[in-house]
Amino acid sequence: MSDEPDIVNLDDCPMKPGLVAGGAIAFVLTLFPMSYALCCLPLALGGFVATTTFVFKYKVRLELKYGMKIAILACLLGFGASTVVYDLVWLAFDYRIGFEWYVSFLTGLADSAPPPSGDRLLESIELLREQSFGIGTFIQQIFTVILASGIGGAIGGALATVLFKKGALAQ
Amino acid sequence: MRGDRGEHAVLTRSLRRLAIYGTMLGSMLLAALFLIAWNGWEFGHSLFSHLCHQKSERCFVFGASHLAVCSRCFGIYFGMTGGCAIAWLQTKKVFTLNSWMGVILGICALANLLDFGFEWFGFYQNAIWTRALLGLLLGMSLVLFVLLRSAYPMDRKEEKAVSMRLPERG
Repeated sequence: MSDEPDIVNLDDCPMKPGLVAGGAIAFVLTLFPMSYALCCLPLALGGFVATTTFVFKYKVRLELKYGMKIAILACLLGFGASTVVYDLVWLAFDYRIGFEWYVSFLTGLADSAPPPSGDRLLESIELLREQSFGIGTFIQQIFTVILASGIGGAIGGALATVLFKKGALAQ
Repeated sequence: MRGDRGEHAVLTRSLRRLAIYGTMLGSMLLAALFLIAWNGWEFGHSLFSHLCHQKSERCFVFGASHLAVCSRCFGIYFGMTGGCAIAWLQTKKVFTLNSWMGVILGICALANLLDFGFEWFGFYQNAIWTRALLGLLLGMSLVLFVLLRSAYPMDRKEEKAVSMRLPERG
């Protein structure tokens, strides 16, 4: 007979290792402009790493809602931190990290698009260039962080929860 | 053992509740996407700018402007919402774990990857509907795979229901 308990108490398993690992991945991937081209994949990856780290660290099996919760929190932390860094650099040095790459990516899309949509895209690029940091931008960023972390984290966390099941159920 | 409760019967009340939440949140997300496009809200488009490239000829047009996500992303969200709705609305209390779900998810992911890769390298030109359809299949298979592989502790009532439904084995 195994000495392993049937259920592990979640209070004995702090989230910190998972949040740090997943948050770090989400931070690095969202700070650089590739996140625009890869949809919610960077955040799904961050969430996946967060939940996987938690499962492997404590050798537990998680409930779906808890696995998703760790992943979403890690994405919120990582993406939130990268947004703060982006804003600080923008305010301090008037430099937007990865902005030129993003503009060249959009310009490439506008060039290949048919005239009406291509022109609209070029107009929106001009608007982006003239955009200054204000309360509206900040509020929009907060909503974006919540929305993107919720979707990406939920996908990554759910996948990691069902793929990795180590030992007893944690509740 | 296949008759083991953790492996065999998985659609418990907790999972059904999760499917309900998934359906509700997914429907709200889809409704928001349609509203943003219908009214042409710029704020809404910038909200989704981190989630998708939003290239206009790759997005469905609805009302005043195109949707704030591309057809593949829209297909994925629609498929995920649909997958949750299927799990919520089906009448069976007990699901049998099916190893084919993993294979189906793998095939859908690979199909999307090949579709993206072949177009990227210029082997062929895909269409808006093929991207949406592949995204839909991926989203739906992802949700069903996740829901069917989740282990949940069952309460006494559910355990009794399962033991009555499961055939006796070996």
